[in-house]
Amino acid sequence: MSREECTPYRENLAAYALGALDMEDVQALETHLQRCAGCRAELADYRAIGEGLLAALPRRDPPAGLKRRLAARLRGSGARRSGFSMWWSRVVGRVAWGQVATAVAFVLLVAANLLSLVQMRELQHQQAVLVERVESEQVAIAMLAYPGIQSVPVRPDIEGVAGQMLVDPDGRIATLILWNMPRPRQGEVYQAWLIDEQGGRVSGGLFTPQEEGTFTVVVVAAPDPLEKFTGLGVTVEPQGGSPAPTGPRLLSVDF
Amino acid sequence: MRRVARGDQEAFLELYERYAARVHALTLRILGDSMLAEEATQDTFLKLWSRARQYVAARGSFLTWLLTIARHTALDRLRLEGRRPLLSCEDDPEETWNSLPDEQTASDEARWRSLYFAVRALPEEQRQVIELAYYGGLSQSQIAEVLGWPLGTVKTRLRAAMQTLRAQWLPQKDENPKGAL
Repeated sequence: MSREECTPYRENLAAYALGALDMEDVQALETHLQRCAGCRAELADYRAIGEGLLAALPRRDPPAGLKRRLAARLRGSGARRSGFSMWWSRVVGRVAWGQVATAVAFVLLVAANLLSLVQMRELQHQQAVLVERVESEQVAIAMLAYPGIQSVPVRPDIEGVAGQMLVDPDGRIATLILWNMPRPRQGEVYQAWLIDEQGGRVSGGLFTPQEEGTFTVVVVAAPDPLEKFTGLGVTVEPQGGSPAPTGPRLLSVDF
Repeated sequence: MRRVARGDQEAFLELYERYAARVHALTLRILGDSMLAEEATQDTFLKLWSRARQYVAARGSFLTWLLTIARHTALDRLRLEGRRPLLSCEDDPEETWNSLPDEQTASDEARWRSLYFAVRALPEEQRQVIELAYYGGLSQSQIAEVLGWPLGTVKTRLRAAMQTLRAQWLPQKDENPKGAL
């Protein structure tokens, strides 16, 4: 390559070697360097000077504490880090991760316990319902086998409901066996009323059918022998029951 | 260096002992502030620790590699802080260049010392351009703006300075095969 052709590029070699060449001139010079050995050789010299300038300064010892800090950083990190990861490590290093982990574990533990408690209570409720149901059914079966028990038909006031009532006239227990009783609405319950000879109503207990389409067994407990009552009615009442019938009647039984 | 690449902290601290004064001299020269220089020196050695496996001996000396990291680290910090580069350096070489631990180091030290004095012997206007370019990280256009000179003048003086150093210093380098850093 002729010397004249290289002249405009040679003028830029020294600045390029020091990283001082303006960006708009870099591309053209690098293209020229690819095909000009003479300019590459001159550039190598300038680069050697640049490398020499890195070390051509009198030594300056850093503060003594710097080595201790570096050693502490290495012991603390135990990992290779640079750039973004070093910045990130400084940010992360300010967070007490042990405490965070403990807090998270504590929250998870509390949440797990609460969940277990809720599940346990739900299971206990289901167990109580099943026990009550089994006991009612056992009472009904026992009454069927007991001599002198009367079976009285239920007279429903709503369509689709049927049933029988087992009554021990000398006793204080009766059993309602109902078919297809609908579930009460939210906040409501069914209440049985024993009707005495004067027309008074005495509560015989609350019940809620568990499932529609199946039979419901309800044990009615009377305060006096059932022979003193003339019949039974079932009404819809607010949750918790009422001292006297307030809602519509669903069925009745004449003893 | 291989031990450092394997994560040997003791080897790393040995390298620090050996080269910290060189790195710190460069970061201090670039930043002109002892606290900033200390931080840049620390960052340089942390980069050395994290990038040790990237060093390839065939591409150049370890010291050149390390000081290049230091230069870039300090220049990045200079720009981050928005500081203006130093126009000149007031080092006292007689005080700091009086300890030569071994023959090899003595040989290198002698070369660098000669380069240092060659730079200081340049005409003031040429030396300023060289120092602003290399220790200030400025382009020729930026140097022209800082010094208030025409761009062509900056180009001419920078080239003249480098040609002088090439003529005065590189022959000494050629006489010593171990001259590259």
